[in-house]
This record gives sequence, structure tokens and C-alpha cells, in this order.
Amino acid sequence: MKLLSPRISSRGHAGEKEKGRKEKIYHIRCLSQDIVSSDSCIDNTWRQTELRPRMWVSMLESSPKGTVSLQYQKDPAMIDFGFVLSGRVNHRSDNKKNTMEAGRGFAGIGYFPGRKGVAEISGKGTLRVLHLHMNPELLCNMLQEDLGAMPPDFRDIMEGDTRKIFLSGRNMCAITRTVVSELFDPGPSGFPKRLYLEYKTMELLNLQIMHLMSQENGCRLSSSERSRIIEARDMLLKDLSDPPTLNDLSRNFSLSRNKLQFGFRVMFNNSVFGCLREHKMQTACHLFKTTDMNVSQVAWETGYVNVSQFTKAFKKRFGLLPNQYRQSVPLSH
Amino acid sequence: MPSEETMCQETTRIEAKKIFGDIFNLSESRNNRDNPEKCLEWPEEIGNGFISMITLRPGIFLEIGNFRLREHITISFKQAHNSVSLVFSISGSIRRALDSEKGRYEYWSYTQGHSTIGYLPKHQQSIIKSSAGSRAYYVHITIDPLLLNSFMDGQYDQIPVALRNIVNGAAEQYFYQESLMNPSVNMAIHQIINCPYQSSLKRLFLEGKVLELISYSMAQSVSLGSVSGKNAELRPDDIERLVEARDILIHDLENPPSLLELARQVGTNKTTLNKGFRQLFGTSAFDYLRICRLERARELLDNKIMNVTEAAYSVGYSQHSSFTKAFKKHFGTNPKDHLH
Repeated sequence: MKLLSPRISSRGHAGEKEKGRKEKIYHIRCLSQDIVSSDSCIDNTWRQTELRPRMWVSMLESSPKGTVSLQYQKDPAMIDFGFVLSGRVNHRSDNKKNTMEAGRGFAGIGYFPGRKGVAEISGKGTLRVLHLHMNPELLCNMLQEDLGAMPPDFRDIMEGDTRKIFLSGRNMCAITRTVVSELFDPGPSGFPKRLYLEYKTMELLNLQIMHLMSQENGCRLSSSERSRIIEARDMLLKDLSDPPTLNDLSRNFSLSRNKLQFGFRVMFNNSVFGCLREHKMQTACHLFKTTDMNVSQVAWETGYVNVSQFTKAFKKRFGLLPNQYRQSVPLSH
Repeated sequence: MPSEETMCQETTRIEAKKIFGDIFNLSESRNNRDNPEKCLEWPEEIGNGFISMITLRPGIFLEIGNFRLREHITISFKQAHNSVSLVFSISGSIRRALDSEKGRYEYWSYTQGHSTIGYLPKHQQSIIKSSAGSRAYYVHITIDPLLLNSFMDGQYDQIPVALRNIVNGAAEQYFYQESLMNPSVNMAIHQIINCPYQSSLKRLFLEGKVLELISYSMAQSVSLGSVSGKNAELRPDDIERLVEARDILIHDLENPPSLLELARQVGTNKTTLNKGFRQLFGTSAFDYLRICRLERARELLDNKIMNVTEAAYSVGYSQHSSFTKAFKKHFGTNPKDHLH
């Protein structure tokens, strides 16, 4: 796992020096524990913590005397959430194709597979930047049923597409800024430190996910509509043996049938009925895996009155007859 | 508080497994996709209200109960795993009786406005007793001690020895510590029970807030530990006396006894009483009384029994403004917001 890290072994870059620029290139290597390092040239503090497997938070505070470049490589790639509290940093990728300028108040979300690049810290003022690095799969597991509410490229990345690139930036809102500052400076309240870091980071993550969601759907669905559609989905899947009709849902959540169907498409990437059927199929698999129910019992349990209908739907979804599936999975109690 | 002897109503006995299933099985709920959320509604004849349960990640389990019972119930538990249990009681009072080695029961109480840290070792049997009539409203976090250990990240030197042993897996005895909920705890609880989100965001939000509460509990145990300092731990009969004093103190909030009277009634002196109060409840007797008054006022408002002025007056505040100020400082909300 490679991440930005502090063990900044200075490796003078001849070419740059000749130009007489006050720039130094630092090579960044991977490290996995908290480190505070200071260099004679740049006065910086770097803290990095692995909050849980595959999720890291890092904070860099740096007041260089001149412009400083940090070279980095990320492999395997992570989803990065970056926040600039003060100062300015320019990122440019190795092939100089992508450049990104992040100044005070910037919040960005990005994913660049196998990216090499250079971050250039301007010498004016103190740079304070916080990063949250997450493995795409971990984030995918956290979001589960709301994956559909994410921007499509971002969703693909979480689902394992390693070729896509994603970048989105905006200005931090007031709450985000507060949380980031609290992470930088916990004050006396942060005990135990490790736990404090974690719950504040979760708060931050929550805010970012919300922004991603509203970015994706903001133009087409209002936030109240979004939450009603989620509630409608919950109600739809609550009781498989007696699911509500489209009209029931429409009446209960004051959404027109059209809006409801459109909302399901946008947010869950499926029709209302499709969502229900998919849930039934997943439930059936789960039952086969965890109980010793036979096919008709499972069919009944998932709301099918007719076993042959169930068998047909199951075969269509998984390409196996329920009975074959049942025999293929060992019972795991 | 009615003692068991005065209970004349029928008591319903329930096995915990029937309600909670395997959800307490901390270590085996690896995949919370299967069963992230569960909600139990009490049957009509027993009471109304619910207990909702959610596994936030392997090793952390959140339970929120909000119900009023028609019958007394007891729920019997047998711990399948070592677990640390944090209970934040918003309203009402629930007791837990633990089988102790001496063949008698040890009682823990979850009292309104208090939070408790408890440790239940594997195989420990206990019975939760919930009385009919009053509303019980609480947030209960169950956490795997090993996970708690990873959260401490080596910051052991400040926490009480007993707790240190627990997170290190060295404890075999149960452990119990009670303290008042401070304003930040109240705020986090408020956010948990009024969670504004749905599905995955809700889980993320709750997980963050639950970690926050765990952090507060650890910090609280530190401050309790530091008060006791070099003093020996409280003896069981000291604790009994202090609990008795507490009950007397809050029995009549409008006319509380003086500290001297209180000390005499339970057979100790002023200094010992106050010191013990700090040790056991984390604050002085007077401050304890103040917080109980605010708690009582909040209960009156929540149940819409009185308006703000009446509530303030009934718990001993003669000025509306000073009441509002104290209330806001403690709960982070305006008293009148509780009337909606």
C-alpha cells in the first residue's frame, strides 16, 4: 500500500536547481504509522493514522520557505478525500495531463489509478491539508444500497473498475470546515485520541457522501423527494409476502407514480418492481445459504405463491435452478 | 422507586434470545449485510413501544429502547462473549441483577440522566428488570472489549485499573461504573435518537455518533478515576450508603435535605459523603441535585405535563431565565423545544 508519507528523503533534482529555482523534490515512500518529521528545509508535521484496515487519515502542516515539490505515487489507488484548510497546493500528474489547483477552503474527491504526480506547495503561508484515503471496496461496503445514488463513474470505481478516473472539487461548507479544523486541533476533548480521530473522520465522510449524493441527484430530485424515495424503498422491501402496490407507495409518500419510478431508476438503478424482485432473489439465496428450507418453503418465504414462478425467476436471475443452487452451497450456520 | 416486594402485578419472563436472537453475538456478526437492522415492537398486552437494534460493524452493536410497559418484565441474559456495555438512560429506570459468585444478586441500575459502563464476562448470567407504568427510553451500546482496546491505542495509563484489565482481556469479574450524562453526551444522544438520515448514511452517522459516545465514556471514566486518585476504591458498604443518600436526595427535589442531614441519615459525615459522591457519581452532591432537577423538568416537558414556567417552578427554579439558561447548558436544547 502506498500513500503519501513523511519520510521525506531529499533527493535534489539537478535540472530544477540549475534553473535557480528555490525548489526541492522530495521522494515520497510508503509508510504505515504515525510520523512527525521535520526537515531543515521545510518545517512540516505529518501525521498519518490507519483508522481501520484500508482507511487512512493524514494531516500535513507545512510552512516551506520557498516552493516545494512532493513527488508521489499511489498504488494501489485509493479514493482520496482532500481538504485544504489554509495555503495552496498544485497537483500535476506525471504526464502533465491533469493539473489541479487547490487553495484554501477547497474540498476534493478523487480517484486516479496508478497515478504518479507532483504536488507543489507554494511558499506563501502555512499549508494545512487533510486527506482521507479509502479503499474503494471498503467504501462500497459502507454504502451498499445507496450506491445507485452516487455519480456513475464513482459507482463504477467503488465496484472495482480500476481504469476510471474521478475528480470532483468544490468549496468546503461551514460544517465541513469545522470538522476538519477539529481534526487538526482536537483540544483537550479528544480522548482517547485514536477514537476521536475516527469519529470525527466518520462525520467528515458522512458529509462528503451527502455532497456526492446531492451532486448526482440534486438537479433532478429534491432532497425531500430523495429521502421519501428511500423510505418508499424500505417500505417496499419490508414484507415480501405482502408488498405494497405502486399506488400504495405513491399515496403514502406523496410522490406521483412517475416520480416514484423515475426516482427508483435514478437512485437504485432499477425499476420499482425490479428492486423488489432483486431483493426477493437475494433473500432466497440468503435463505438457501443459512437455513435448511426447501425450495417451496423459500419460495413461500420470499412472497411467491407459485413455486414454478419462483423457479423461473430464480433461473433467469442466477442461471441455476433453485434446487441446483441449494445443493451447490454448503450450509453455513 | 418501587422495591420488588411491593410489586403486585404479574411479571412476564422472557429469554433474551427470543427477543434479540443472535444479534448480541458480537464476533460472529461479521457480515452486517445480512442483518443490519431489527426492530421489535412489544405485543399489545405487554406494552407499547419498541426496541430497535442495529449492528454498526463487527463488534459494535446499538440498541435503542423506547417503551411503556403494562406488565413488569424480566429478560434473562447469558453472555455469549465478553462485552462492555454502555447504557445511556434518557428516561425511566431499569435494573439489572447479576448472579454473583456468593450466590446472591448484585444490582446495577440504569437511572434517568445517567450513563453506565458495565463489563459482563463470558457466561455471566443476568436479568434485566423493567417495571410497568413508567416510560423507559435508553441508548445501549454493546462493544467487544478487544475493539475497545484498539480504540485506546495504548492510552491506558489514565483509565481506571479495572477498565484497563477489561480492555486487555485480563478481567474475569464484572465491572460497573455510573456517572451523570454531561452536556456533550446529551447532545450526541439527542442526535442519535433524532437521526435525520436513511439507509447507508444513517449507519455511517450512527456509527460515528456511537464512537463519539464511547469516547465520552472513556473520558468520563478517566475523570472519575482521577478524583479517586490515591484513595482506595470505594468499599461495597460505602457504595450502598451513597446510593441510599442519592435516593433520599432526589426523592423530593423541591425540598432536598441539607448535606449535614443527608450525611446523618445514612450514617456518615459531610466530607466522606461529598467525596464519595464525586467518586461514584462524578460530581458533588449539590451538582448532582441540580442535574436531577433539570432532568425532572425535561421529563415534565417531554410528557407535556407542564409549560416551561411551571416546570421550572416545580423543580425549584424561581426564575424562568435562569432555568432556561441552565437547561440549555445541560441539554443543548431550549426547554420550549421539548413541548413540540
